Amino acid sequence: MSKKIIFESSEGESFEVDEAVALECQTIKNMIEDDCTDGGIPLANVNSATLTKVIDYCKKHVEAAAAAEANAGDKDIYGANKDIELKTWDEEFVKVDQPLLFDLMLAANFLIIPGLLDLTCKTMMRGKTVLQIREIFHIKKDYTDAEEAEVRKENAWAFE
Amino acid sequence: MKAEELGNEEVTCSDRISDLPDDLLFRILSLIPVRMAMSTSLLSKRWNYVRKMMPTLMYDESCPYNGSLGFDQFCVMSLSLHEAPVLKTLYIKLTNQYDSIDTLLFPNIRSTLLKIKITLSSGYHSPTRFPNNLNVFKTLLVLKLHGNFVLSFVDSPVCFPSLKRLQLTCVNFRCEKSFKGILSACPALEDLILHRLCGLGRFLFSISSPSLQRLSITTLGAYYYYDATIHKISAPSLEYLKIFDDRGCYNFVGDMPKLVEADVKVHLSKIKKLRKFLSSLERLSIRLYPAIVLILADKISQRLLHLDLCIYGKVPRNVLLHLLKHSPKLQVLKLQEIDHYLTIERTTSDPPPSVCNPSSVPECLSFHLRTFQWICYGGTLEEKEIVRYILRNARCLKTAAIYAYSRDRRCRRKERLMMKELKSMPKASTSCKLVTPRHYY
Repeated sequence: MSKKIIFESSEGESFEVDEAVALECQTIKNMIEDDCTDGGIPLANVNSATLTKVIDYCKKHVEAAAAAEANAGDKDIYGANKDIELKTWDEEFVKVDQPLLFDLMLAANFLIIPGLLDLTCKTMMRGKTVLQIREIFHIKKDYTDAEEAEVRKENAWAFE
Repeated sequence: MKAEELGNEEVTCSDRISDLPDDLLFRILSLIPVRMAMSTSLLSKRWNYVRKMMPTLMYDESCPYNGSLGFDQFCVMSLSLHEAPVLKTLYIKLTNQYDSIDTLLFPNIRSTLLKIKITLSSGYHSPTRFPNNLNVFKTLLVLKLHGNFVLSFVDSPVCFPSLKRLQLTCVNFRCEKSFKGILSACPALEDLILHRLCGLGRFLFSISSPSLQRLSITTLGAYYYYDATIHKISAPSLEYLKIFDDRGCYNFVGDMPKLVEADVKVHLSKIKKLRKFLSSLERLSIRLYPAIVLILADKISQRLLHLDLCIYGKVPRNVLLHLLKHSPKLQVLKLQEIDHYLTIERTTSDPPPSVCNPSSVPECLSFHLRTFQWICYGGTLEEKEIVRYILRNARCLKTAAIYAYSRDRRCRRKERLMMKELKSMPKASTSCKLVTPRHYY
């Protein structure tokens, strides 16, 4: 049986995962190597909903890596299909509401999961106009009219 | 539901994203199309600052979102206004044709540029000439040119005094002087990766670099065209060499006393001064015909620690032992015998090797060999004898991994017998672990 690691969310809920899954997080990997994971790892800035998703992501990617390893001998179209399958899974995975996406990104940044960090960062603003971004993220304009005109001029082509 | 939303209003309405550290915002902006990233300037002063300080910029012309934003506009409008003191990576991917990429791009870079990759994906591009020596070239560490480049480097004044790594993929050099020119413009070069097109006819790649440490030459496509490429290599500081090239000739000029690792898939008959290339190796991965193993044995470095030998056909026992005799320090031996369409013809026409079995046990077996691996072990009498000999004499062996291969997948029973036989062989090393994984393929 593989070793288990226990995560504790900000609400104090415990999540037990296989060590291999926890190792997907560079931060945790360092802690495991330093042998300071006994008695669970408290994650004060990751809530249960986010942690559940993060664990899902790590599990899926560990499984995918293991499957790829098993088929390493015959790299063929099936291998390529697996890649596409994982990409599609990732796409589905980030179809969540904006606050959760944001929390996922912060968790990926804190736990150092490069794949998840890029995935969430990429999705954060994709396909949105400046107006939509301003609205969704509540970004206040702090330009004077003259300053705004200047910025517009500098980036004229971007606003065509 | 409604009340809950109202209750959370204060939380959800705060601008969390603008409070993120610069690094995270850089990452977010670098993962969206460049035009989109530029337009975030309009959001607020914070975003305008972040956008102008991005350490990585990517312009991908094939990205539909760029709309009418042309490469020239990108260079003139955003590159020249970029304020990051250091631009770590600039990645340019072009699909349209431009007359002078170099004069459009480089003079507009104000930041200290460390790494650039330019990919030209289709169409004909007029020659890139580098007619001016600009400040931006002084700091450049990595230069990667990929695709339909026509490089004209004859009499160019350009110098890349800091360039450590140069990668040229499918680049058209127009003439031999042009290739020589780009190399002589890089006096500090450590890594050269040349991914060349096959079918160049007669062409001399003259690689002369006193600083070069790692060299990788691989070929791509068009195998049916005439290719008489010659690589003349003078690299006294070379430490690592990789050649995957069935066509070209290789001529090593001068010694390479630091060359410790080589990974080659090339006809050894096409390497001139083979001894210079083999004399100091510690790690060698090589593909060859059985007949060449003897030549290899006579010229191989006495310092060899790791040998990965891939043979087209079968290696006779006496030849293999001869090779071991000449590699006294060998710690790791990996053998793979592969079928090759030329194998049958070759093996029948090759004269039987006339070399005696060594009178004593090779030194590497007695004192050094830790790992022995055999892929495609077929269980013939000859092969069995080789394994038996190694197991009986390798006193420090830790692992012996034999991957059985039988042509006929129904021969499970035969395979099992083969494995049983292997396991019953006497071993000189008591701590040796024999692994016999099945179905490597």
